[in-house]
Amino acid sequence: MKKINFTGVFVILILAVLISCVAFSGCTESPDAPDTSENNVEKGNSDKNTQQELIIGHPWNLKSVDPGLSGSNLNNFRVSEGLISISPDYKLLPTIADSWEYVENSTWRFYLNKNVEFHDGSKVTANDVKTALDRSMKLNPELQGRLNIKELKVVDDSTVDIITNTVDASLPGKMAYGAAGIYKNNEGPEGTISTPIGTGPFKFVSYDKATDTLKLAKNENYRDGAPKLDSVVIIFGIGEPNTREMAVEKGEIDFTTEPTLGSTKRLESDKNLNVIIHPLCQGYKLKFGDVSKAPYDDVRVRKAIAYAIDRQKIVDNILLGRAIVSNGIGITPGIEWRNNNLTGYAYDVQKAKGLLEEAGWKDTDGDGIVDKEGQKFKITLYTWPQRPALPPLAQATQSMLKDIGIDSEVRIMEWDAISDRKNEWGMITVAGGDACMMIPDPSYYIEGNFYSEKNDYNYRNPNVDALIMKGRTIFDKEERYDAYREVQRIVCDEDCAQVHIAYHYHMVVTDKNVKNYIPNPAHHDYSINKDMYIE
Amino acid sequence: MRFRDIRLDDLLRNKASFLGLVIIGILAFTAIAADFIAPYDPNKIELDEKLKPPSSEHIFGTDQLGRDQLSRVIHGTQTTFKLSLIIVTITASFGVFIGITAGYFGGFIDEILMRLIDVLLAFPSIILALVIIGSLGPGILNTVIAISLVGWLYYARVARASTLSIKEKEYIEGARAMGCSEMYICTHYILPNCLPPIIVLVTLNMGGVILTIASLGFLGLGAQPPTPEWGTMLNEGREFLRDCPWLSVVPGALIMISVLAFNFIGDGLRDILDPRQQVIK
Repeated sequence: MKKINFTGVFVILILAVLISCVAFSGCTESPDAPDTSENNVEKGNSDKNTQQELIIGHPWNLKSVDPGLSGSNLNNFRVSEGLISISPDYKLLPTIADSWEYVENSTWRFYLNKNVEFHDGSKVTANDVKTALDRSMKLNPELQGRLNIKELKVVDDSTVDIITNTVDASLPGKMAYGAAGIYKNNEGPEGTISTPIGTGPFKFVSYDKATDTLKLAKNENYRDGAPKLDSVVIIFGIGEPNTREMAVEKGEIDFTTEPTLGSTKRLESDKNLNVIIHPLCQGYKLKFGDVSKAPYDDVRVRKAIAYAIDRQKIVDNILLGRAIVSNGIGITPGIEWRNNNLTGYAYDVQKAKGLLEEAGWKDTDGDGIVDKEGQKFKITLYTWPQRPALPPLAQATQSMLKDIGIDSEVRIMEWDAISDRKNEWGMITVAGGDACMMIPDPSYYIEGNFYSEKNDYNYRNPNVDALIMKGRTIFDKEERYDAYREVQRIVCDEDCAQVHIAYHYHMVVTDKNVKNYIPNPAHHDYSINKDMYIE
Repeated sequence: MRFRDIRLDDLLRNKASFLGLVIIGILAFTAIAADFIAPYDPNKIELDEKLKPPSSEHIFGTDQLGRDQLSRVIHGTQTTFKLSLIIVTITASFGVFIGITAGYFGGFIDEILMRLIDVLLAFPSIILALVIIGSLGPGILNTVIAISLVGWLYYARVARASTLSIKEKEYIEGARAMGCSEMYICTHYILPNCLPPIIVLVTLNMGGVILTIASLGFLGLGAQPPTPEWGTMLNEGREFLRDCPWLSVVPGALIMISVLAFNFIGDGLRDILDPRQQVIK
């Protein structure tokens, strides 16, 4: 009879432990792109002062180097530039365009900077601008929808007219959108661009699809002086935060972003690393499925939920300090058009309970769950798994809602599947990555979230719509921003259309020798600077 | 070899299966008495107590929401055992029913059922389960449905094979001569006689089912938070793997131990029931 004795069992157990140890250390030691890390070591040793190479580990995939499709990536890695760009303090900076003005009849006129050259040495002309934007809009319907452009007209070599579909005061901000970069149209016979030529401080060298690695070199002739780095290597698609973290700790990469949530203290105490935590124009919020239907058609219910969330506790314990509390609107503090005088909804359980009771939700059967006309307040919180903070955030929300007598279930599924469930009774989405500066103009966030025709949760308020239309059509900056500030007051303090929880803080980890990184909160999620260097 | 010939002392004499029985005994007790032995409410969120390392207060520490990991693991045992028992009961009874039907009646029915099984067996079962959950949506009930839908195939095959040999036996002829209905023959003669291999399959299969439940939970498709479930806990702990390893190590070790224990029992049972090994004894 075959017998497994105890010795055998222990041997198996010990083997299992050994194998897992080996597998674990294997993870840390196997570099994601062996060739680049070796290059780094060699270069680092041989000619440290002459060769400056920055290696970046990036969470997402690149997919394509065609600037018509990957404009935002190429802009963030400074290969291409837009007509306008956005500074870290949220100001529009003249870039390829020197200046711009509204002419008449939905026409904006952009005067180009005559000193801007492409990487191949040719001057940027109005014709290049028209070709690039026309091509990008054709390839990218999302961009076309956002820009609202009817046509581009070349006036002379360095002047271009952009005619919008309707009168649109927001166009300059849209020209700073990452996907609206300007590039040379050198598309091949099959209609794609495989060697992008832009105007930025870094030139495209090569892209290896198999390892998803992009190599860039400095543009010696950049108009504001050549960058200090000789080359930049970006390894895309390192999706697992643990992997990025270990790679930067071991020195395989010099720069990476968003490591695991719990790692801040350990990384900060590592003498070989620099940890930079800075605001990013993104937030966490609760979004009601449909505010035109019960139970959320009653503003008191929405406000009760807003009062029930203990935001400080969430920021301290779940977002682990990588966020700051937000009591009201999803527009990051410091942005010019933000309404800084909102009352908001500070944590107050008694007030929340009172509002629910006023709205007719009472606990009649003593089970701790409020009910109304025989219907229990039982809802579902939906969220998605890709952002690690979201599932615990949803569970914390669940327990906070329980305190005011709302019973909820948490369901974690893909983002696409969630948007199909908007009609469920009491559906709430626990959302993260809610960007407010993708396009540096108030219309981006406010129209998308609160304009009747654009929002997806049936929020309708004629006053808000009128103010948004006003914001689109008046050109005086202060008057325009005031209209948007008034919208913020209505949607937050009066209507409580969404429950905002926190502003996101982005974390960058670099090798301690990487200097001069200046974070730009308006870039998603980060961008490199011309003046970065390695000590 | 008949079902009633499985004697407990045979099983206890085999050291591996003895160990397996002890472990499963402890885990089963934990699962049944979870509400009484868990020191805290597994879903009670105490944000100020988050990510505490193991201490006398929290033996396995606390997770990122400050929930007691020991209590969660104990309730997780309940979730896992409850689910795997339900799944194995469903799959075994359905599989045996299909297997006996196909084996006993043969012909056209047999042909159709077995070809269907062949087709389904051609897919890796976890992929099929993922596809089913993908269309039904994640959740405990859907986990049960998905694993059950792909899990009955082996039972049907084994039951059919046993039935094919049993139905040629003389006592079946005898029963038929005495005028027993086919239903009676199937339930009173064939079913008890094809149970032994099924019992072995059930114990071996338990381990596989526990792993599948944990895998689906790990992928976020199984039990939904805050339900304590080993795979889900493993996934929640993954984010903190390097800073708070206890969050993943404890549920991971439990998955391994319980699967190992079921396999030990299964191996022991197989040895006892294997007619070729009776001679040696």
